[in-house]
Amino acid sequence: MLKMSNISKVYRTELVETHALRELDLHVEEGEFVAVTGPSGSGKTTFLNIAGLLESPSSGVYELDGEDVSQRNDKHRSRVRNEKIGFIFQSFNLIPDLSLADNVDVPLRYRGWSGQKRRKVIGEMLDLVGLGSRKDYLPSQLSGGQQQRVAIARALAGKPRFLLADEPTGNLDSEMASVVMNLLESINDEGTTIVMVTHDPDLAHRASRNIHILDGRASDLGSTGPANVTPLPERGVARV
Amino acid sequence: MKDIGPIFRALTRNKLGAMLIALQIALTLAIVTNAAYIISERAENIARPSGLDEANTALFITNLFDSNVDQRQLYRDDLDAIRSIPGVLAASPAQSIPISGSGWGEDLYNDPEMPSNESINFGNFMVDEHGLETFGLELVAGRNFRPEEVKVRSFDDMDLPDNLIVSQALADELFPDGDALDKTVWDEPNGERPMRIIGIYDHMQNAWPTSSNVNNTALLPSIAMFGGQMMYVVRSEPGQLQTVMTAVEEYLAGNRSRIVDIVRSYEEQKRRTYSGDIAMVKLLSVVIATLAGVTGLGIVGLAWFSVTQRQKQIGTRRALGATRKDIIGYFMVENWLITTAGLAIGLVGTLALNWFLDTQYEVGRVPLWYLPLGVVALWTLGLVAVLLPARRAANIPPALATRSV
Repeated sequence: MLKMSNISKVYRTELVETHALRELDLHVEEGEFVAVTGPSGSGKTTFLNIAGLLESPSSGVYELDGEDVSQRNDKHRSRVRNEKIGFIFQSFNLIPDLSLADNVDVPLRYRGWSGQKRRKVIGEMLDLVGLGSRKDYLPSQLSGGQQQRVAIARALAGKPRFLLADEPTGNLDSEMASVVMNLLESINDEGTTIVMVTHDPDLAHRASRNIHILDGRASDLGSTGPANVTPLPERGVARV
Repeated sequence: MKDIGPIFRALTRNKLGAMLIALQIALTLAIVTNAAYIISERAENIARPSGLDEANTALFITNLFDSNVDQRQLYRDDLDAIRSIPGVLAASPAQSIPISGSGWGEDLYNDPEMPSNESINFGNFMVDEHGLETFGLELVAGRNFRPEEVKVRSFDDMDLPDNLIVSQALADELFPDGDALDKTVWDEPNGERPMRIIGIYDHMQNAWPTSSNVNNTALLPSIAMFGGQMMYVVRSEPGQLQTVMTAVEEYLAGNRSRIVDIVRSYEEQKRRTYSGDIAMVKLLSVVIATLAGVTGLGIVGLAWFSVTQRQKQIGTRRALGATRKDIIGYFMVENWLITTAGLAIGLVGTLALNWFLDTQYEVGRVPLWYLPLGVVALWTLGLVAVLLPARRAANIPPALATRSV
């Protein structure tokens, strides 16, 4: 599903060169729920950005769903993001002036689906996260947990095979965090591959596999989660 | 246009900034459309042909201060001298010239029974038998004056000449059937002071640029001797006007019994007459340019601020699959909606302002086709103005979505 080989990312300014990722190798199989952990500044967000095609690596090869997407042009990367990847952000990133339905609709409009199809999917997704009756609400009228559920509905609406979650419970209290995690687990149970960046070791333990990033290098901490983890032929490929 | 529904709904929830720009656009449309109409009206007025050979004509006004001088003889001597100056094509005495702002208006009757409130007004130009050639008019019917037909008109003798030559416009108004030549007309009601139309020339304006019947004019074979003022109109060979003006002025100034008050080319005279209109055209052009500039900058400012404020949102849209083109399109559509709302209000405002200007200052009614023209111009202005902020938005990287600020 996701295969990174020798991925490096260097940010250059006039004065300094920062190596955010160093020759990172990583392999995520279809259906896995992988938690990526690491301290602040370790390269987690850079990894997430490259995995989500939000940035290009400085070197190395990134294959998503069998396609080398490392250096594709902006338009192609936008299309891949829209069709194959769902994003869940730490601060939800809902658009404050849009209703919940219009928020869920954002990626679907870029997909070019018909209005009828979009309306059906929006209804289904908001029902899935338990907010079907509030589709005309604005995000500001919801609690943090509810907003993150809308963000999950938006991430799932385009039926992506791959979900990237950036600290999805970082801004939630423990009760809400648990609700969101349960939702993510059930989504994973349906077959969606999830890569989740988190600080929280408890949440990381609920994933099927943990990867630790430190100083831009990844180390595979192996399987930690429930029994539905797909056996990994290349387990432990992370290279320092 | 894929985002038009959500953009519209978002705008209705966040109205203030958009509303201010929409009102500015409305005001701009109302003012620019009315100003453009006034400019075109004035420019059209200025560009109307006077009928004269404008580039080669000059006027000279002198004032006699010696009351013992035989004015009639002085006219003869002056005209003989002026006509003999090299480069002079023709010269005539006159009491006024077209579009000078000062002249004589009289009424004509085409029937002795015609009631006085139906008489037809015209601009009267007193010239001699060289008047037609001096003014550069083309005789389209009839004949020119003969020297013996030219009368002196003064405070002692206000008798009108026996005949006159009229403009085609005046001939048509007096005799709509097209048979004005050789017809008798009267200068007073009840068949008083008859004159015969002996010729018709193509076109000449009267002295007043705002006159409603500016093309109703006539030449009367008369030499005006009211006080010591004497006026000559001189037409030069093409390109000789400056030389001729200098020579004529030198000749006129040589007579110590008078002073030369005015030596002026016709083009300069016309510029002076229209100086108010020319200033108005310039002022309104500056107003249009300034308003368009301020509105354009207002749109740029609002869109720029909006992009800065929504960087994270734009990054999120990019992360969710929006291409750069989608982001540019988003801002174009948003601006188009604001502009269109402003234009809708502006159309009403344009008509209201025009109604006010017309009732208060008689500027005339703006032709309706000005409205779509103004709308298209401001739509274009809006789209051009938003292009730069929209391109800036399109360059916001999708990775901004994952940043915490």
